Amino acid sequence: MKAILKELNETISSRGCLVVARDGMLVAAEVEPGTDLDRLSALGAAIVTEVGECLARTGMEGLSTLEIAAEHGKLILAEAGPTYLLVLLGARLEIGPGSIEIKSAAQRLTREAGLHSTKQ
Amino acid sequence: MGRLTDMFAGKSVSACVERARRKMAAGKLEDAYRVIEKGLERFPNSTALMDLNLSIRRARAHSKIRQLEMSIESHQSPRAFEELVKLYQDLELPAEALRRAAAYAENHPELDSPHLMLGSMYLEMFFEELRARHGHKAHEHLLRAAALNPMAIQPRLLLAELYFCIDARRSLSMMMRALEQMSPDQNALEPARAAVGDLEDAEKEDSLEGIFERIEVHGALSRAPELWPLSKRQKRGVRVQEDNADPAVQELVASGAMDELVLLRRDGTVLSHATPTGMRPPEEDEDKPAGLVDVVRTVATKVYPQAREFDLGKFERCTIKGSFGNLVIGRVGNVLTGARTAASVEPHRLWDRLRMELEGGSGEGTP
Repeated sequence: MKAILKELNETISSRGCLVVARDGMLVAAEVEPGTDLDRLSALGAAIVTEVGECLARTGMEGLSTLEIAAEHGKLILAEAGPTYLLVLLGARLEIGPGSIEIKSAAQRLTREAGLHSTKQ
Repeated sequence: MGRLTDMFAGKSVSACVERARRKMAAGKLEDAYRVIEKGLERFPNSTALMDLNLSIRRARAHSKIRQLEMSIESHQSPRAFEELVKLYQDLELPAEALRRAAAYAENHPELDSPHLMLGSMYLEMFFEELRARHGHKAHEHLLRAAALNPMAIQPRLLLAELYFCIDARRSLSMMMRALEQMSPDQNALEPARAAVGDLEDAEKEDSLEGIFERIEVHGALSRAPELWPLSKRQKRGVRVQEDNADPAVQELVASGAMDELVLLRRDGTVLSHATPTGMRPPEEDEDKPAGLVDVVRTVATKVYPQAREFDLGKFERCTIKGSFGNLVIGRVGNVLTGARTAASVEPHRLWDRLRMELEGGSGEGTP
């Protein structure tokens, strides 16, 4: 998994990538030293849970990616089988939730976990 | 060549933006600047035009910045520091402005002016992002500026504004009394007295630390900064006109540009909501929001406060993709918007279109 994350960081010049279980547990990470990984993974999972529950309430199930764009950077969460791929990007990068590199990494992570996503 | 395009360039925001971008791509910065200035005369609230204007102003300011940096390096002159901080603020480079103001404070510990600058900048950041540490910093620097210059009214006015917005009533009451004793023009304080009204009877208040923490956790100020009548802080004000918003929303959905669109006011109430089946009344059930309204509120109240922990700065938008299509949620001026489209629509383009239409008012600028 770490090799996939490392390759993704190099390809899209992301600040860091994490694989997070739906309960917030950290599975794997490639980030700068000193990053509080447990905090980031818990926050990422909390965001996915809040939005997922809200979408389910409104009949819009099947969340595949979520992007938060801000002044200094972006946060992308992409479904990867039983986990989520969390990517941190700089503000100037024109990479969105539809990025082929991120989708491809998420698919490879899904395969690596031995599961295939049934969603989009 | 160009006469026909000149005639139509001012017809919509998107036409102005396209034209300015073409000029910029051709290296004609001054021409692009003129197109943008003209566009802003007609569409003064357009963020797309303001963004382009800013890019050009930044490019033009390079030599001035270099000159001021050199002057600071050789003389540490307060005037050069102040000019540079103000220039960075004008160019909307807050990190640079903060860095320079901090260096100014370090080099001139006897002056109140750098602390006033720092306090004012942190106050703006606190109101924008609601981070407790920004509130602390704003408070600390404004108190320092007031202590260094016992006759200065400005830091005390900003402190009063801070106390008003976080509902620190006892501190506000004390600050108002101090201002009334100092101010040479009592009438100037009258609007503030009216705004404070009957708030002054508070006997005790929580510690400011506790108040700042609570605001960060809840993601809301007690009172909006716009309600403080003496605010002199400059804002890049984009306001969506409520009267014009509804027709624009209706037209966007009717045109097929999006499947559903909702606008919420800052207090979370529905301003406008359109679906392909027709307009829904703004008075729909506020207590039990459904569908897109629920998603927009969840993003604003739950997701943004959590995502703030990632230190990404001011939020622009949230894009959610799934088997239901794409949802794009973000703030345009004074309203929170949420749009739903088919999966095939590029969310970034949808967001640009949405901003342009809402800033353009009634949607007559649609290209």
